[in-house]
Amino acid sequence: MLAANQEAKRYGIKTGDAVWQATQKCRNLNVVPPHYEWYMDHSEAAREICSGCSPCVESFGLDENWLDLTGCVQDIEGGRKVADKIRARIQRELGVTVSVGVSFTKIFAKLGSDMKKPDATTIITQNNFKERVWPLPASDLLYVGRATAEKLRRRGIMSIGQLAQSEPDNLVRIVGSKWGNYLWSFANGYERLGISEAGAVHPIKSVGNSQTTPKDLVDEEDIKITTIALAESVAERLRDHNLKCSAVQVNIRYSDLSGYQRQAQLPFPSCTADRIYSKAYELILRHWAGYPIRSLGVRALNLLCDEYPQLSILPEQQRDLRQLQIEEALDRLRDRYGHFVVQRGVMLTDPLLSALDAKADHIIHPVAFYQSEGMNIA
Amino acid sequence: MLRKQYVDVEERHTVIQVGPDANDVQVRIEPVVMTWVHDDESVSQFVIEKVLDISRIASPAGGIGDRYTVKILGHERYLWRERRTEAWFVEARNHQ
Repeated sequence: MLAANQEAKRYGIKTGDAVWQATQKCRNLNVVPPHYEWYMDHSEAAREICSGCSPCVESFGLDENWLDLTGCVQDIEGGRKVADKIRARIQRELGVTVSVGVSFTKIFAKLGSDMKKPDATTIITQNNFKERVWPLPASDLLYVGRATAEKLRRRGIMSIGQLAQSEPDNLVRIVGSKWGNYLWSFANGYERLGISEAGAVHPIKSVGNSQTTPKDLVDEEDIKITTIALAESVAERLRDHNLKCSAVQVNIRYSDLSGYQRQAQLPFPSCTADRIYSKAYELILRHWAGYPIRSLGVRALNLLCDEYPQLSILPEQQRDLRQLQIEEALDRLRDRYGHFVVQRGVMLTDPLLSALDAKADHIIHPVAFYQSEGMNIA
Repeated sequence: MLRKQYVDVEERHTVIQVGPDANDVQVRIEPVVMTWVHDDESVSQFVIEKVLDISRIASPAGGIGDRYTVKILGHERYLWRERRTEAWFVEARNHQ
C-alpha cells in the first residue's frame, strides 16, 4: 500500500501494508494502481496555486507546502481567508481536498494541517496553542519520529506540553544538544524558521540515486549490475548540470533493513560512470558483510563546476577524458532512442536487475515489483 | 461512474498580445471540430459552434486541465483539455 484514503484508514490500513494484510483488514477493499505522473501533476498545480498567494512558498515533500504570509495579511483571520481560498481553488481546479494549518510558526502550521482531515482549516494562535497543541502526543510534532518519541516516553514525556515544560538541559541529555534545544523551542512555539523563497534555486550539493532492487542482491554480479545502473545515471545527471565530483558515497541496506554509508575520495574530479562505478563498487565490496542487499545507493559528493576543465598530461586523466567522450556519445544516443538502446554487456546477464532505468525512474518506482513478479512466473 | 472518453479535436491557436511589449503574448487554444470514434469504429464529427467559457476546473472523471464550455448542435457541452498530455476528452457514462 503506497497510500490509504480516510475510509481505508478507518479499517486500520496503513502505508506499507502488504496487499494481503490490507485485504484481511477490509474484505471489499478497492486497490487502484498508482499513477506517479498524476501525483506529480497535482502537486505541481497545487504549488502554483500556493505561489499565487505568497511570494514565499517552500515545498515539504511532494504534496505539502509552507507559505509565509508575513506582509500579505494583517492578522490570523486574514490567514484563515487565504487558507480557505487555497482549499476552494484546489478543490475546484484539481478535484481533490486539502487540509491547511494556519499558525505563527512553521511547526504548528504543519501540526494544524494534520489535526483535522480531510478538507479543513485549523488555526493555532499564540493564545490558544497551549489548549490545542499541548495535550497532543509528542510524536505528533514534526521531527519527533518513532525513535525520538520512544526515548522521550521512557523519560515520562508523552505530550507536546510535557515536552514544552521540560528543562531544555534535560532534553539535551535525552536527544542530544541540537535536537534537544530544537524540540523544546518547537513545542513552545519559539521557533522562527524562515521559509525559502519560491523559485529560488538551491545550489546542488550532491547528486545521488538509490534503488530498492526488484530482488535482493546476493552476489558480486548482482551488486555489479545495480551499481553500474546507478553510477550511469548519477554520471549522466552530473553531466547534465556540468558538474564533476571528487568523492563518491555508497549506501547499503540489507534485507533486514539495517544499513550504513561509506565514502571515499576520487584521485581527481570526474563525471564518468566508469570512475564513479569503480570507486563505488570497490567501496561496497570492501564493506559488504555478505548478507542479501535490499537497496543500494550511489552518490557523487564534493561537486565542482566543469565549465572550464583543467587539462592534464597525466595518462590516467587523459584516459578519463576519452571515456567521457564515449559516455557523452552514449548520452546523445540515449536521449534520442531511449535508455536501453546501448547497454553494457554485463547488463545482459540479468534482465530483471538491468531493467532499471535509474535516471528516468530515480524517484519511486513501485511498478518494478509487479514486473518482477510477472517475470518470475515467466 | 464517469470515465474519460478521449476524442480527436482540431485546435485553433490564436496568439494574443497581453502586455505593452510585443513579446507579452499568450496562446489561446480553441476547439474547432471534434471527432468521436465509436467502439464499432464508426466516426461522428461535430462542429464546435461556439466556445462559451474556458476555466481551469477538474473533471469528476479525473485529470488536471482546462474545461471548455462549448456549443455543439445547439447544446451546451463540456470538453476538457488535459494539461500534461494536451489530449481532449469528454465525460462518458460507464456501461459495464
